[in-house]
Amino acid sequence: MRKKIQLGVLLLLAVVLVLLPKVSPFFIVFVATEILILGLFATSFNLMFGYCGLLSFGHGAFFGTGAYVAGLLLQHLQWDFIWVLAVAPLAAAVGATLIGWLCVRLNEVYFSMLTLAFGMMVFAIAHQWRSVTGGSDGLAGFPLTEVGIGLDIVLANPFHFYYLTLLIVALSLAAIYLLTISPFGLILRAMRENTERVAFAGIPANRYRLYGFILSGLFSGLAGALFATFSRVAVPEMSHWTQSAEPILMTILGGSQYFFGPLAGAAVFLGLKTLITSYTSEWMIYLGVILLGMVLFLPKGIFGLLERWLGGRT
Amino acid sequence: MLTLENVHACYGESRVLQGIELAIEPGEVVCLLGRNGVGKTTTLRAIMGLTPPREGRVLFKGQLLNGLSTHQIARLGIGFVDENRRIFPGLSVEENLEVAQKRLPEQNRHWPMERIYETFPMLADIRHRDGDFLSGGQQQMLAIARALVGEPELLLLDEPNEGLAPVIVQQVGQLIRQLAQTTTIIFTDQNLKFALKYAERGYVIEKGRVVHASSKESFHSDLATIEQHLSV
Repeated sequence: MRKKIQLGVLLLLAVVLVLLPKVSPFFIVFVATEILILGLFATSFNLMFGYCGLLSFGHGAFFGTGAYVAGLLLQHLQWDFIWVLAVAPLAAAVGATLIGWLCVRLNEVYFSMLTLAFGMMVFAIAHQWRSVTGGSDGLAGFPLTEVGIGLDIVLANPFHFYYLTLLIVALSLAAIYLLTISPFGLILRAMRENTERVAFAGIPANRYRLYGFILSGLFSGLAGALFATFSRVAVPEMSHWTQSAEPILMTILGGSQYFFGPLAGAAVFLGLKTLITSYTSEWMIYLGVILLGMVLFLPKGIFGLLERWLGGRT
Repeated sequence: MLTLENVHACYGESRVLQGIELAIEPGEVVCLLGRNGVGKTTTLRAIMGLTPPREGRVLFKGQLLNGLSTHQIARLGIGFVDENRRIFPGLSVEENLEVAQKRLPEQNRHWPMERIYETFPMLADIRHRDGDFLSGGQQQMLAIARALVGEPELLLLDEPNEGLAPVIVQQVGQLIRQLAQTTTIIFTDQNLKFALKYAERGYVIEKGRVVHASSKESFHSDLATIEQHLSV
């Protein structure tokens, strides 16, 4: 029964998302694209936070790497977009391998602080290495290429870009979901509970943490590449710690224990942000107060609240 | 099967083990006795590499364990059931078992899932329940079952009776007796009665040292000495 409800909701959501551009104004499609991309970013972050129990404060590093690599490839090589989307996440995954290798040995706050430090290092590189990254101006004005493999999609058309994003995000979420229910995902969840106990079950905990970290970085890089193409710039702020904080907020808002929690959190976060900025430029204060209230009164996020309404866990 | 030679181990500056000596033969059921805080748990942790020995050697089937990481030691065939909350609370009973299953071809398993559920019928009924919702006795049974699916030749049980109802304690005892037919077992306890009933011999640990070692023959006649060490 419960499974049927979940499947029904998911199908309904899919229908709404597919029909959205037909019935809503351009502006809504624009916001929805942003929600999908940052929802993917938050979901990949939650692979570490919700499943491994490790709070990364530096995922902006991988988001930014994906964004810059995509920007550089479009600017200098004008590759077909499909190849940009293949290579940018791989670059982020290489970065995640290096950073993760050093970070996964640490626990709790030490892990968070080290990821924060590495995130800010990537920010500093983006900010300082003017000849490559364009410094504080970032990369802007890179051309949008063909998508490739015979797809008749125009990236500059926001409706086309929305559908492309929807497809890529849906496929990525499906891949991440399959990972979480696989034996690999089971090991990640067990590590969240107790790393020591995982080790004496004969499993090299740190190695699995690193695998999780790399996958998380890979999908964060994909989100970054999509976001750079969507906003037509790659700027240092994309790897700043404030960027790293966004998926944390989204995930806590939506509920870290639920697969779709981060995506729902992204929708609420960006929805509120859009709504409030239409009234005042001091949106951060108002958003801050709302978020504070939600975190205080909904510790398990929106999904936790829904579950309570629907009669608790089975 | 397992030998500890002059094992020292520390938590920070405090030296908890000060030259532990153990020699366990295959098939034995041995109890480590001692009051709270004398180093029983640390001895088991030192064997597993969780609290690596600072000095001395740990040998398992002739292989030196010093310097190996915990998961490597586990894979060599040592199962560990730790004390306190012994399971993964957010995982179901079945998931708790799956995560610990040794990667082996199905026909090579001594402990395939069916045999686990035969041995632990109480777990079969609740296999889809989350660890959060298990009683203390169910948790302990699951913890032992989880160690078994790792296919250990040597099983370490840390205070298997702690906090359990008498009827469960008896079940744990019978389980130890049943497992002893195929597995070497070391368990720790503060309770001499349980040890005498289910172990073949015992070591008494005090201040990080073995102060008394009984042989199989002398275990029951050494009572007075052992009791003297265990009383405050």
